[in-house]
Amino acid sequence: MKIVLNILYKDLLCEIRTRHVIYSLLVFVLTTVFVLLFSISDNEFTVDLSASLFWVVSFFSTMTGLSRSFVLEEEKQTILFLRLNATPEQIYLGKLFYSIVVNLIINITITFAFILFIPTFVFSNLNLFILTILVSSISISSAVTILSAIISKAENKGLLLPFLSFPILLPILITSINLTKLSLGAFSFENEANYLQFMISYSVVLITASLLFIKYIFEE
Amino acid sequence: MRILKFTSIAIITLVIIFGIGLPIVENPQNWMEYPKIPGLDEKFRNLFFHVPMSWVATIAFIVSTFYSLKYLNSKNNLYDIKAESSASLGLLFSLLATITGSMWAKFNWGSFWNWDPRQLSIIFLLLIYFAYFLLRASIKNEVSRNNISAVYNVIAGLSAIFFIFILPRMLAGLHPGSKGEADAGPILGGSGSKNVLFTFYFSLLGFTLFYIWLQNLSYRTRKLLKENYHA
Amino acid sequence: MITLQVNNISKSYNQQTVFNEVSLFASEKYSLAITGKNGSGKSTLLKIIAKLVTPTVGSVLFFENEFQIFPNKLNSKLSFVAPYLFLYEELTAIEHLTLIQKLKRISNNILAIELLKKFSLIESKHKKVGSFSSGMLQRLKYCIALVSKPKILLLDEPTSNLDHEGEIIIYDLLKAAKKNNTLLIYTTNHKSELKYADDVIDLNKLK
Repeated sequence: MKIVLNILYKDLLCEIRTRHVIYSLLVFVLTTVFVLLFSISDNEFTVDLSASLFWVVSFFSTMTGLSRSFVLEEEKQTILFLRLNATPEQIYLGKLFYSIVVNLIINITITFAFILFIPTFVFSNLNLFILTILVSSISISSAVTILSAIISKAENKGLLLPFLSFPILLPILITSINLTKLSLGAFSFENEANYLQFMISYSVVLITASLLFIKYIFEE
Repeated sequence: MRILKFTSIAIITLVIIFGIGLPIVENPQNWMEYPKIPGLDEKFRNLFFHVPMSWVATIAFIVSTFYSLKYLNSKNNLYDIKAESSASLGLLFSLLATITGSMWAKFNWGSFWNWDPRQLSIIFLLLIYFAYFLLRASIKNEVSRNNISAVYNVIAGLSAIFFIFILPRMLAGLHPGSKGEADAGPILGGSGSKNVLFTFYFSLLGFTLFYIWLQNLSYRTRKLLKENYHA
Repeated sequence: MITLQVNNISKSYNQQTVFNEVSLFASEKYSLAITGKNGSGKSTLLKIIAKLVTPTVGSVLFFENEFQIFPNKLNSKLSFVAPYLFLYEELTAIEHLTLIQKLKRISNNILAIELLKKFSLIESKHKKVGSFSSGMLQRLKYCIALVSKPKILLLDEPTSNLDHEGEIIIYDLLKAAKKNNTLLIYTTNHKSELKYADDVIDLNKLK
């Protein structure tokens, strides 16, 4: 576990030194939000629309920001250093925690941008929204981390990640959108506990499978 | 395999002849006539093809995931070839199921595409198959390619359990078995007619046998290609 | 007492054979040089021994006092230096040494400083690795490899990118392997470097 935290620390340190992900993210979030504001007038923003847009922006920011975790190690050929000094499972967990941290930052940034600029983004159930952000950050990271490891060996990485992750992330996105609608006060008979349970069990399954299979991905 | 080939083709031919040819009447007198289902009329004939195709697409997906798991467990390349061939058949049948499904959707629900959870499931399967073959095409090293595509297949299989079997039951939809539908039974059962049910199950059997034969054929072709051309 | 057993390994990439049926036996206080033309699979063999690459056929086993060393325990006993081992550009030399000590669960800052002095990197220890020259990088890799006092040392082209002064340090290191109870395996293209080894394997002659 200490090794995992040290890998996480190393990743965060590298990120703070370059600020590559943070800057590209800020630019991405701000441009998308401004484009949305230009193209959609205030009274057209329904609760459903802003909840969906939130996760659309989140999905694409994740694709630009998070894909770096394994891909960067492979591109800079530093993965060998990690493999010599840690087991595949430890490397995976380090990257998973890193993804969760980055994804939380992504979602919190988008939340603030939406609160500032989008008129219908007003919470009627703030606790549920915080819970949604937390749980879906963990689920999205658990899916993206293993997929990032999968594409790191492939050739056209930039194209491949959205393609591979969309079907795997779709269940998470659908549930997150529904939960966000609920927390924004959309009238509904839906049961939020079911959705949260669904996401939690989905990420538990994905993380377990990733831990079992990560060693095959490094094999040559 | 030869018996399988002829039986499955014969069954599917019979299903095509009877499924499309037999007349639909108000009060069927003998087995040669189908009963009229109010609201569906002639359109229900599609079910003899759409449901078995979706069924085979799902079976092919499960088989492919199963062989990927077996490959990871044994590192025997033959299992990887089996997984790949089953995935290619799954791609074919999910395309067919999408086409027949949109025909059904157009004439019963008003448009070719309704974003019903079940339609999402088939799009999910299609995307997974496309992604799987794209991934295979973009990894050069053979060991990495086999391992990584097998891992992706298993991960996709796990997420399919959630996506196809759990999520549609949580969301409202048009297909049988969606949330909020008290009677989740199949449409055909409601018709109470034995010969409709018989044609349906006969078709299911025919398509399944057809899939088994095709899977074997595709496996042997790919194996030969690999052995002789290192394809 | 650490021993290495390589049983009949073969490796092929996409049906193209790199080498066939190589067997080795090595133990502590023993050094082995691997030589061969370019493309004869020297680096691949070294990577297989380091368990970074899986052989197509055959097995690589490490034993410590007759007991097999499991892969997760091997990390802390084995060090690897190679031209294709890259370091993190954003981290400094000293941060690399701290990281490696934490990953290998050791703590020996005195040795780390000594190594930095020995490889004359002590002045640039707070510089980011991205600004290092290739010779300095190679020196830092040795510091990282040696700080854990490895029982097994694998070196791919040990003197690549090094100046004359650096080469002398490395030759001393190769000679000292016996004294330090280390199992040393290195690859080389230079005839002059073969004399430091107890045994030489020529991969071209095996074929």
